Amino acid sequence: MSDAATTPRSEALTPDEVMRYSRHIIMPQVGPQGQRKLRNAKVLVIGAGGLGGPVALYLALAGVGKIGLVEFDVVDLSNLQRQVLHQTADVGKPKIVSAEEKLNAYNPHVQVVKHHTPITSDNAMEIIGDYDIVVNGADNFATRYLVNDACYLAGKTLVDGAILLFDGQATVYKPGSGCYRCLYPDPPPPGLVPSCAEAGVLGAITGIVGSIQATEVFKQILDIGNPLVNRLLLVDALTMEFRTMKLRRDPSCPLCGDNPTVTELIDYDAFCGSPPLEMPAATA
Amino acid sequence: MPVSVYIPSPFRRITANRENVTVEGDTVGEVLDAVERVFPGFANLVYDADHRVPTHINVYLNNTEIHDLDGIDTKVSDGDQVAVIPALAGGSGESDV
Repeated sequence: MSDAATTPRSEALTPDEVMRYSRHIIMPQVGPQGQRKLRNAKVLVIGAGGLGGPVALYLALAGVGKIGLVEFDVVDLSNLQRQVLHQTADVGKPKIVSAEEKLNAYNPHVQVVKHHTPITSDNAMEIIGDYDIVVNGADNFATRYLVNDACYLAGKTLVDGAILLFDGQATVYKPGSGCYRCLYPDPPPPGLVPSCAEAGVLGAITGIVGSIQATEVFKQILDIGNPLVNRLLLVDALTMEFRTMKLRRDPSCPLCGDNPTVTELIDYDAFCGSPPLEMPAATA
Repeated sequence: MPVSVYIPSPFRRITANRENVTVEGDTVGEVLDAVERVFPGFANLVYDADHRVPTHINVYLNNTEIHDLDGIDTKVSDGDQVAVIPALAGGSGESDV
C-alpha cells in the first residue's frame, strides 16, 4: 500500500493513475468516473490460492482501492502449478504475505488488507462488514456455506466460483435473488465429492474461473452489463464449452426463502460433517 | 426418443471419459436409468440410497433444473439435453480457508 492511504478517494485521478488505467478509462463503460468507482471499491477475497489469486491479481491491476484477503495457509510446492500469486521462493511463507507482496508489486496504489485467520462463524460478519462485495475462492463446503450465509445476512453481493478437475462453476448471488443454499440445499456427505488435492485440477481452469469472477466484480462496481445473477455458468475445459443454467431463489430456502430458519451463522463444520480447520505453522 | 446426457468431468470415470452419452427414454428418470444400463455405477453417483437425486447434485433438462419442472418424471423430447451437475468445492488450496 502506498498512495491509496494518502490520496483522498473523492479526488480526481492522478496523472499516474490516468496513464496506468488508460486502457480502462478509454472505454465509455468505465471512463474516469468508473475508474474512481474502482478506486473507491472495497472487495473481500476468500482465499489467496487457485481462484483468489487471479481474482485478487486482476482487482489489483484494475485499481480496486481496498482488497481484503482471508487466508491462513502457507505456500506449498504443490500450490505452484496453479496459484499465480506465489513463487518458488515463497514456499513455506504465509500465503497472505506472499500475496500482499505480489499485489503491491503489481500496483502500489491499492490497499491490501490481510485477514490472517480462518473465516469462522465468530468473525465472518465483522470481516465481511467492511467490504462492498465478497468473492468466494474457498476450497471446502463448510466455508462455502458460511460465506454464503454471512453475505446474505450482511446484505452483501457474493461472487462465487468453484473448480475441480477440468470443470468450473461461477455465479453471482445478490441478496434476494437466490443463494448457494438455493442451488445446493445440503452439502454432500463427507468424502463423497473429492477436493482438488484428492482428485486434481487443471491449473489453467483457476485462471479461467478466477478471471470470470473478477469480471463479475468489475461489472458490479461499474454497474454495467448483465451480471451472472440467477445464472450458473459451467465451464468444461476439455470440451471448451460454456453452459449457462437457470438459477432461481427457492421460496423454501432455509436462508433466503419465505420462512427462513437460518437467521444467524451456525456451526458449519457440524453442518457439513467436516473437521474444523486448523492454522498451519509458517515455515518461513 | 434419443436424449443426450452431459457428463461433467468429475463423473467421467464412470462413462469411459465420454462427455456426452446418448440414450433413449421418455422421462428424465428413464434417461438416467438408461445411462446406468450402459455405464453401470452411474446411478451410484446421481442417486442416494433411497434412489433420490441428492441435494448436492442438480439435474438440468436443457438449462432448467428438474425441481422447477416435474422432477425425474419430467418428460423429455427428441434432441433434449440432460445435464447432471454436482456441487464443487475446489478453489483455494487444500481446505485452507
